[in-house]
Amino acid sequence: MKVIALYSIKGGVGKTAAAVNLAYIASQEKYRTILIDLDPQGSASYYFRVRAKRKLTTKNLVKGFKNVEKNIRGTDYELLDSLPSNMTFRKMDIVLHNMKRSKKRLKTILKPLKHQYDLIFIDSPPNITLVSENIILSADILLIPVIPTPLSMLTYEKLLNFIGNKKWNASKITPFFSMVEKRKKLHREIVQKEGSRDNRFLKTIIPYAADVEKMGIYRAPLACYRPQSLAARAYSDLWQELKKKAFNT
Amino acid sequence: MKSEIFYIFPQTISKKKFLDRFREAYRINRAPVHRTIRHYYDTFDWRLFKKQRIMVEEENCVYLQNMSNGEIEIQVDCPSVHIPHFWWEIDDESLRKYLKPMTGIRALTLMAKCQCRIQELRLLNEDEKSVLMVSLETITPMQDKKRMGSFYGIRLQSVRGYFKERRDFDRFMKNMGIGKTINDLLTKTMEASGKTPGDYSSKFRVTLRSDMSANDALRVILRYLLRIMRQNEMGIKTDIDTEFLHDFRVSVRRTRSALTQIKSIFPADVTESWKHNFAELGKSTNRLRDLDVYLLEEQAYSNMLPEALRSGLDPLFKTLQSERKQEHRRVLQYLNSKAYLDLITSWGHFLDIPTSNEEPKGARALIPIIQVARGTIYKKFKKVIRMGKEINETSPDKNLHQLRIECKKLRYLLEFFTSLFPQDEMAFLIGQLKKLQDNLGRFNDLSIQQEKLNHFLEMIDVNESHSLKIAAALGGLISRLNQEQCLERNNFKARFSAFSNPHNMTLFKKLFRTVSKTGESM
Repeated sequence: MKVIALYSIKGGVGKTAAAVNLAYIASQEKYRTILIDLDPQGSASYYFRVRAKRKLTTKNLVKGFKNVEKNIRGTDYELLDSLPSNMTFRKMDIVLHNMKRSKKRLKTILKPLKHQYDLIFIDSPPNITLVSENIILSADILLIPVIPTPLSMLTYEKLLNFIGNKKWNASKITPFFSMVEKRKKLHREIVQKEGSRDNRFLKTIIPYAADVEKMGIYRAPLACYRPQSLAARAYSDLWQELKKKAFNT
Repeated sequence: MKSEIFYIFPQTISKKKFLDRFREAYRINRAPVHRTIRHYYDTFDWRLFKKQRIMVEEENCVYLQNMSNGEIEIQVDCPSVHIPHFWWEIDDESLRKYLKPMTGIRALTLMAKCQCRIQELRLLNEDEKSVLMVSLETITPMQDKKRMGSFYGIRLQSVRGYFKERRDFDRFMKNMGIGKTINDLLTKTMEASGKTPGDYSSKFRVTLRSDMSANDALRVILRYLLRIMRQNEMGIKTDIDTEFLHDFRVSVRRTRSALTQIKSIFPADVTESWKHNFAELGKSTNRLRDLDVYLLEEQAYSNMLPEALRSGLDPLFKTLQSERKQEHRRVLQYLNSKAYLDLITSWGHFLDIPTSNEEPKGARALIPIIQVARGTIYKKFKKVIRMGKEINETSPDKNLHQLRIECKKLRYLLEFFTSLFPQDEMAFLIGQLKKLQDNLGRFNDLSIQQEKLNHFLEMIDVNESHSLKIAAALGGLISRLNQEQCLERNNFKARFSAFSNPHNMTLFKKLFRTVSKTGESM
């Protein structure tokens, strides 16, 4: 089992879209997949049309696996399940703070899912808190969408420093360019320059596309309603690249 | 893994009536109708069915479902419709591993086939999210190319996390009077295709009443054995796997054993003539069975040898294989011959003669079978005990072989008459006897194998180029088999004393010893 966490300190960079589309594509390739939505905004859950039960509060989640198990919901797609988000997840930080081993809670929660799934995708809340640390520590691949703008690059650098200072395993850091607008010179330049300077960047670029925004209307992965679109094909390429890194194939 | 449950509509509920009520009750999403052909597989002796499993091939996909809980335990893609006969021929590793302990050496064969018209109806909630996968199926079983009467049903696949919706749907179906099942779907499809699941077993299962006349009871036993022979004919002829011939031969052997051991039921000359006929029948298939056994042992033999010697066996097995082909052709001819057909039909006619008929009978034909059973079993048991006690470290191998044969006779008797005695005690005694038989059987197999390999060794043409390698391989095998045989022989004493322990002795006495009027045991 591999854990792939979509993570960024900044919001609105295409995390959720990537998580939903990649999880869908993986499940179509017969990987038993689950998407865990830890973002209290619950966009991933919205795309899959799943709602959490009221009982799935932060306290119940971090308390243990039984509660996780009970709240897993099948999506409309074969081999793809989801753990929907809940508004109380916004208080997860405070709950974690008062616990022992507060940074490794998530890892413990995920352990029993090992036998049920080949892949776990996590959609994380945009910030850098104790929850983020849990996510970073439990992920095998930390997949970071980066919009090619100076500000985004700065945030990315900050994250690198943060992980560096903690002396955590940096090989899991896997950035990719997201929401790229080819007609903007700045975007083109940054992709060109940073992409060749930092070889951690995946080769695939996810373009900015109205089709992606429409996921909120169709409430389905892109491949279900615009399979031939540029963006859909980009996600598919991204998955192929990611798969190689995750499973060493 | 996902699980599926099936509901079959009773005659009183039409498809339309169901759909009307269903649409009223639920918000649904209809997918376009599609059609498939569904193939059911099992071994001839229903090994999957007996383990509560169904194997289905449908839309280039093979899956096995557990009938007790509906769970699909394994599902693999199979691009070709052709399902291999044996587990070891299957490409997919997980399926191979799954089937190995289930089917063993038996071949998978097509048991039933049906056409399905499938209308997917997904149940939606207020978010338009599918919460239950429901498909309405029209199933038309096929017999050869003919379509049999259709029936309707609902296949239900839960979506994880939507328990309440599932419970609601169960209640809805219950209110409509539609019951859920998995077994019935299989049974219904099978029956329409002319098959009854589980109707064949290589185990002997006949129910006798203790007040039956010995004549009637013996005929029941023999008729059952005849049916088994006939059921296996087709499989032997088409050469699907080796067990058809094996089961056929066991039935022939049991028939001879019953005729020999259950004495004075038919007139002596009649018994003698049938015994002779069945002995001939058995003999005519001996060689084919021998060859089957060698070929089944190929892998095991190969494993016994060091790598360097293994290739020496190849020419030998090649020869055996071509000989088997010839021999199979000979047996096929025999089974199609008038001589065989006459034997089998006249045997059937003979067994159907009712007791009331004036035909001459043996002296004990009209005694209740229970008396005959007790006397015959107890006599044989005493013989086994006597022979076993006489065997010590210095006795010749011949004595063990003879004891093995007597044990087999006792085993057959216990099985013929099982239904006349308390079931658990009979099962226990048969189990005890089986342990002793396993030891004697292995000892015997090992000695026969050595004999045969020696025979091959003598036949080797020294002038041929690879004969040295063959000889080395055979020599290696013979010494290995001989070591194992010695081990079995050493085990005999312990096995026999376990079988003849006081508890078993008392139980045999209690169940089978007949007491004469003067109170003396007989």
